[in-house]
Amino acid sequence: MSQSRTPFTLPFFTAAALRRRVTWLIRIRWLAIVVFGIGIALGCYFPAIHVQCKALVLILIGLVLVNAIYILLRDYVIRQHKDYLINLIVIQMVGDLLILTVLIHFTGGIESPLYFFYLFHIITAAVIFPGTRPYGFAGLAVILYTTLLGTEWLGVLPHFNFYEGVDITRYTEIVVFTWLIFLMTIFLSTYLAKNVTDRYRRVRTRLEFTNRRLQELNRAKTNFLRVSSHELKAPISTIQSTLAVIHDILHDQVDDRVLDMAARSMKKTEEMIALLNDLSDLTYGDLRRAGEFVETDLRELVQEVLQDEKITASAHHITLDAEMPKSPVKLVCDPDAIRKVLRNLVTNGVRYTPESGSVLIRLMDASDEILLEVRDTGIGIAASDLKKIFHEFYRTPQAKSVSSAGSGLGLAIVERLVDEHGGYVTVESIVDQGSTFQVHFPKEIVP
Amino acid sequence: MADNKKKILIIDDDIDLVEAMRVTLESVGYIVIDAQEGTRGMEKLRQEKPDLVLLDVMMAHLDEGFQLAYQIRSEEAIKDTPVVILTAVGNQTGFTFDPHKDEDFLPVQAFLEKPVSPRDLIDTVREYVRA
Repeated sequence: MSQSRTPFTLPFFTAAALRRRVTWLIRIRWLAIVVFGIGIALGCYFPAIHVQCKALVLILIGLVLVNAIYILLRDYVIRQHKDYLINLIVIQMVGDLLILTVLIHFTGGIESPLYFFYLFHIITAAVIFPGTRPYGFAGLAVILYTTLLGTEWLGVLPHFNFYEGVDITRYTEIVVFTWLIFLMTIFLSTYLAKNVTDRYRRVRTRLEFTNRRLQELNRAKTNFLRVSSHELKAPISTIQSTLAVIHDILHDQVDDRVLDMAARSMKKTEEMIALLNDLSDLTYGDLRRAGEFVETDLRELVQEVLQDEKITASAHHITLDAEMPKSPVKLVCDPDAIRKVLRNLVTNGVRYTPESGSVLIRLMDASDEILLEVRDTGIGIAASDLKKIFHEFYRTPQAKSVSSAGSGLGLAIVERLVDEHGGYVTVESIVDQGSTFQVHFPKEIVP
Repeated sequence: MADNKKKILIIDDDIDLVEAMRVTLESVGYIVIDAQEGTRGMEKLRQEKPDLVLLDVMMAHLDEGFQLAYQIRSEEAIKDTPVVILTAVGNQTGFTFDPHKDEDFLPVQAFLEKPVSPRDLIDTVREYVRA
């Protein structure tokens, strides 16, 4: 059987995974200690069960101490020698096997039913360790148990009866038979547990691999979109410029019908350029270099967008205003992205609000988040459309009837850029009364 | 008199765009010469000493235009020629040039984003060269 050596380091032996394992073992041991305590109480209460109560209580106390030491060791190793985490796991597991063997001795040696507990350790080893190490633990369990049985049989160690008046150690064939069964159980269990966990590891490795591959493909797709939107933009820009020359410069040399046709064509090329710009915005976050986040006073961005969009708004007889706190509203962000977010929301507000309506930008600095709100008195969005408007290329039927311009990408871009800042967008709307978009930025950005 | 007419050099590999800009600038009295790539552009700069250069940033190489801008500034005879950069970069990479902010880094007078409207083109050129 060929064993592939490759990527088993993946999710299993990272420092974080090992730390979790160590903690897991310690927790399970506390649980075992509780169960053990109850077991001692019961075992010593029923006269039919013969156990060495004093010795067991001492073992219990010892186990509590050992587990406490493991906690201290864990904290020390995590602080000083992360590489030793795996050794700490091995130490704990070997220690557990030793303690269990001592426990079996004091509960009747070969007669003790506690030898079943070796199985827990074997399965735990198979879960934690890839490769052949689980067989090592199985071997150790067998050696310990064999030594115990052997020394009791030889009389080197005293034998404590578990059952009243029965001493199985005197029947050699029963000892050997029990020992053989034990041997088979231990190794078969290791094999089975390893088989399951190895398969799980393979699946996980494959998933990880597939996931990376998908990410690569997604990147390629994004890159394709970006390049093609750019490549398309260049010729369309030239068409636009050429039409503009006919319309603006050569207008006295052509008749009005030609001018009208040029104007119509220009309107379409403008829409197309806007669409291509939106497409490249949509792919923008993916390709941006990291570390372009700077602390920014959002009031300045609001002010900027307000100035720029006021012209369009007043041309449509729409009041555009902003309400902001007096003190700076600082956010660590990519100012270009936030400007784009705000601009998209305000453009939408203005575009879909009838004459003499209003669009209000509000910036609020709450204790745990920064809130950027754009409220309009426009056509509104039907409840059934509220989710869809964030989908790429989706435009509501009302939006289409109001304006042919608009790529249906604006809100997808908004959501995307806000998401990159760890924030989220909410929207409330009543048809024919208006919409309110709220952008929530958490104050602590978790990278 | 033809001698008084100011000369504009357009360096851009899109000859159709060059044509559109030529018609625009000639309509307001400039003389327009052009080059499709950087080396030829530098030759024309040296020979014809234009009053302003319109420079496309992205020709054969991604930053050919930028390289050219530095080269112009480093040659004594032509280093004072105003340079206006034509760009479609802004929306493509997501970062926009701000001439007021970036002039320390890039020795040019202005940026014009494609598609350039005839009005903007004329206004920008007039800002640096009176026809």
